[in-house]
Amino acid sequence: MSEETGLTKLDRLESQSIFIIREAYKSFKNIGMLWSIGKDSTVLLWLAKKAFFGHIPFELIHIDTNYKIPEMIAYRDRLAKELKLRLVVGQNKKALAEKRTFVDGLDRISCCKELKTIPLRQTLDGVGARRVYDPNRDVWEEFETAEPYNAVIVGVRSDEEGSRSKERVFSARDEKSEWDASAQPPELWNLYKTEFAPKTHVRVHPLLDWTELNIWEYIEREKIPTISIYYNQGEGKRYRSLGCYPCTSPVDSDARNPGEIIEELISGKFRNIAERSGRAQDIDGGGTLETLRKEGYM
Amino acid sequence: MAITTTVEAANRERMDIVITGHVDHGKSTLVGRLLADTQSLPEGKLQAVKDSCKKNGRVFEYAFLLDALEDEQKQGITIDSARIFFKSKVREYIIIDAPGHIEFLRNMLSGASRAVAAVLVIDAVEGVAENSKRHGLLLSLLGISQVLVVVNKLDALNYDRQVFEDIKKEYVAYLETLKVKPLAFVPVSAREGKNITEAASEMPWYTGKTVLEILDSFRNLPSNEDSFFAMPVQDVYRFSNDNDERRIYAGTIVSGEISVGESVTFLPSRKEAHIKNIEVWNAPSKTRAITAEASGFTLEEEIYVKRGEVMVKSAEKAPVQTAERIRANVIWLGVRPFSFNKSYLLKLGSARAEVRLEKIESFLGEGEREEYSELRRNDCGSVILSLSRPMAVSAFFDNPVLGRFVIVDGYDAAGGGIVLENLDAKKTWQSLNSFEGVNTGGGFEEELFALLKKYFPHRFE
Repeated sequence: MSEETGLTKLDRLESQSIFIIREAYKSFKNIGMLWSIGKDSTVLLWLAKKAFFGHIPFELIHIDTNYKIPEMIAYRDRLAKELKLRLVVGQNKKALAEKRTFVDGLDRISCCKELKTIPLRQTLDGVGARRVYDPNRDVWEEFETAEPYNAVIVGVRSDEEGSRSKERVFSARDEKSEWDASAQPPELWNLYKTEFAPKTHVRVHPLLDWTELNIWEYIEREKIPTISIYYNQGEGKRYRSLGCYPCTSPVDSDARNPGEIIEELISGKFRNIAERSGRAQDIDGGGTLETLRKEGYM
Repeated sequence: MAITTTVEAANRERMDIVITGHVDHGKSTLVGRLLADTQSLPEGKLQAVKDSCKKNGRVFEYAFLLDALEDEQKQGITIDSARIFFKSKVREYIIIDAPGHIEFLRNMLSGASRAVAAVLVIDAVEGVAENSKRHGLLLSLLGISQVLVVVNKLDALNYDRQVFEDIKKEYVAYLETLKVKPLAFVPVSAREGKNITEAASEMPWYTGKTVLEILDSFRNLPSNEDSFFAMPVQDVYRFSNDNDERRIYAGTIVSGEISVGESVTFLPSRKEAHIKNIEVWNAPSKTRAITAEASGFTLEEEIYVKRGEVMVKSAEKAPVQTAERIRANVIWLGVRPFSFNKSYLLKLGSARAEVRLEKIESFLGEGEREEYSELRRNDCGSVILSLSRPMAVSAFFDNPVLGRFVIVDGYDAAGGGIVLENLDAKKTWQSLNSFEGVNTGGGFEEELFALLKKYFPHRFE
């Protein structure tokens, strides 16, 4: 622990993220939080619970590509029920029906655009099919339109990838959800810019300062319920990063719990291996994730 | 033991550091070197970048490890500041690699405003540039007192001691005018890795610490826990639709500590109440909350206060005052100039008010200008601002969080600044004291001075 302070590093990270989540909630009329089922956005969910003392006063949004690892969907629905989350699930049904996907022969980057970027944009804009889970009645309902979101809270971290390392905490997207990385406004101290022209989409990033290791340290400390496929369940394999099954592979690892994952990251085999190395779409040449992100990908 | 390692890592200190300096003076190269020489890069990254350079017929540079955006790679220039995670034996760092180009000053400031310490890079060949001075000024305006000056590219000058000494002399003299005292000057070659993590035999005349050793010797800001208590109210929550009857006053404590049962006053409304409970979710209940905690309180008395008020202890003589006119230093970043006879939005703590520029007292860091008619983009000035309504503020050196602000012009985050003085101070203090029935006598100023000396010793050197 630092000699000069009563709060630990994790306490400070938690506090700062809660501050950001509260600012976001106060600043936008219709705000949602993206929940990808992965460890980062589940930590985000936990922080929102803390920020609002057990309540989550906004909807959680999941974009279902139809190719998610099946355990992810089961875990999602179970946690939504247990934590009483109002969950909105968006999907590009048209692309799936017309077979514009990687498994049907499309390249990976175009598939990400079809199954993630486009439905994300549509869901945020309030158009396109969506399923909504109402925790109070424990039912799923289908909707075609909804009120658009002005802003979404997103769990991206700076250490994941180069273009994410340059993000602002409050980051503007234009009407088409596009990001101009080279012309971002100043962001001084924690006096975030929350004034935006109408129709601007805002991405709020409370986890920019967290590393993969910090996330696991926090999961361990808080005993946050995470999905089982992050852990080796006897076959010597686990997922380090979650995605669609055609493009994401498990890594060889014996880690069975958060504590063992932390060991692996600090001194073990993953000490110097990039987290997203198990994801095929990142390897197809420099700048690809940045290209996706400029168009509205997370 | 495995468990010990885990606990140590989780509690390990974190420090935010900004790397600044003029364009092409070698900031990204320095950071790239630090990452490479401390084995902080992902496996294969160094080789991948080297291979890519070979393929594209370019000479490898350590800076390429950092410039992640496509435009940056194409143009060989850092456009926006990146957060780079890095570990030494002592602590974790976030290094903020800030662009040096004047056009991206807003990005440099965005990076620097997060930092508690700064590394300022000067190219030994080019010498002290206008931007080196400007960055020094901005660091002093942001209140960053821990500054390490790195004189880079000495390999190009045969590691000439005299060049280093001359630059040091010139820059120390400049920083003195800003009352900034750099903690160290280090002669380096970032490209060749000299004096970065290991002492360089090429510069036997330099016997000081390496860049990494100096970073490790920096101190995080004091926690302010011993200071007076203050918390800007961020929001008041009542989620009654879920049968939750609590009215929770939420916010992040900026200094001091508070316990259940204590009496608090909200400024500027001056409403009083007692702390009933410190609210938490999924954690053991607590009776005390401290600096930097994102907190939530229920009060014994149901009072109506809003976001923007500052909660202080009724019994404490906090130097938080209600102000409508302030003297401040401002950095202007807006596309349109900061001009008279126009209304802007000022954000300070969680409060918001309309603000007007009343007077420009002086331009900072530049030659005299004939007319003080406006502040243009990238100008710094000492100004008087008038607010549309009273706001609880502190002087920056009493409390950084309650003494700094942002000015918004339309949708443009156009300026930032620090409060030097509350021009209503005298009046407000008298009325506040009579309201609280506290006789501060002459003791307050002495106390304040002691506090200032404790937290900002460099200001008194």
